[in-house]
Amino acid sequence: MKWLFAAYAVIWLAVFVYLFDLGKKQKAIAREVEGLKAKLGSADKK
Amino acid sequence: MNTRKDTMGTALVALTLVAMMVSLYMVFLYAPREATMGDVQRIFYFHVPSAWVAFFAFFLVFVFSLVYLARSNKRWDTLAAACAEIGVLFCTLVLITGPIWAKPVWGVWWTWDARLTLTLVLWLIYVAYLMLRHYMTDPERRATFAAVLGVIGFLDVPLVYFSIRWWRTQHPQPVMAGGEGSGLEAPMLATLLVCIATFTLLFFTLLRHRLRLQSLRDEVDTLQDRLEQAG
Repeated sequence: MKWLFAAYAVIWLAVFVYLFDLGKKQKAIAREVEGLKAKLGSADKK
Repeated sequence: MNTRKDTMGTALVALTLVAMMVSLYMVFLYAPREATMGDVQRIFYFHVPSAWVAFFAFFLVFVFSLVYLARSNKRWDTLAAACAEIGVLFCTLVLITGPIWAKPVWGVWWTWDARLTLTLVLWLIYVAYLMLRHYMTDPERRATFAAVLGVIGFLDVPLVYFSIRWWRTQHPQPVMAGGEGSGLEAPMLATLLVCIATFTLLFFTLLRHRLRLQSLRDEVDTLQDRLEQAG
């Protein structure tokens, strides 16, 4: 049973780590997008 | 349009979660205990679908790469890259769950038989694909070289699939369409098919998230270009 548990644990862990990593990157890039939009807004006003 | 897309995305995630719960029920409670290997055989119900998703993902890389080479449209390169990343994830799961299953059944973690070796080669090919994309900075050359590797690399997939039919291997013989003596009991087959469907849904869920990330990166590039022009 330990082998069965190990195999399923690996699968779940890998999928969740990948999803977590994607989510983290998405948040970081979304912040970068907001920052760039703000800079562009200031540049357009000038 | 965005609201409709968000709704579809939420529906896909919900469907995947429900399918996963059904799969877990079928794997642990519905499917019968295998006579020879016992409960450890239940790894099969996630090991095989992982392989299916990896093959499917690499097939999509092959198709999108061909279309990119024909049309040079960035969209196809983006799709190929996303599919390759997820394909490598699932191929890695195959290479991990396989040995975990093999150890109690064969007594060894690994053997250099045709199926296992060719699967490892497949993994190396697509890891190389991802490394090529990471280290090549020119976007057009990166897309072209990656597309060529995406097309050629796919040639290993049929080799992996047919290896257990063409050569004598340690790996078990096919359980579906494997000729005389092959096949699964109905509950086992039903469980396997549900798991394959679940993993396919999971693939599309992950693909959607990965493409969302890429579209945000493209938006950053566009905004940076506009900032440079305004600046």
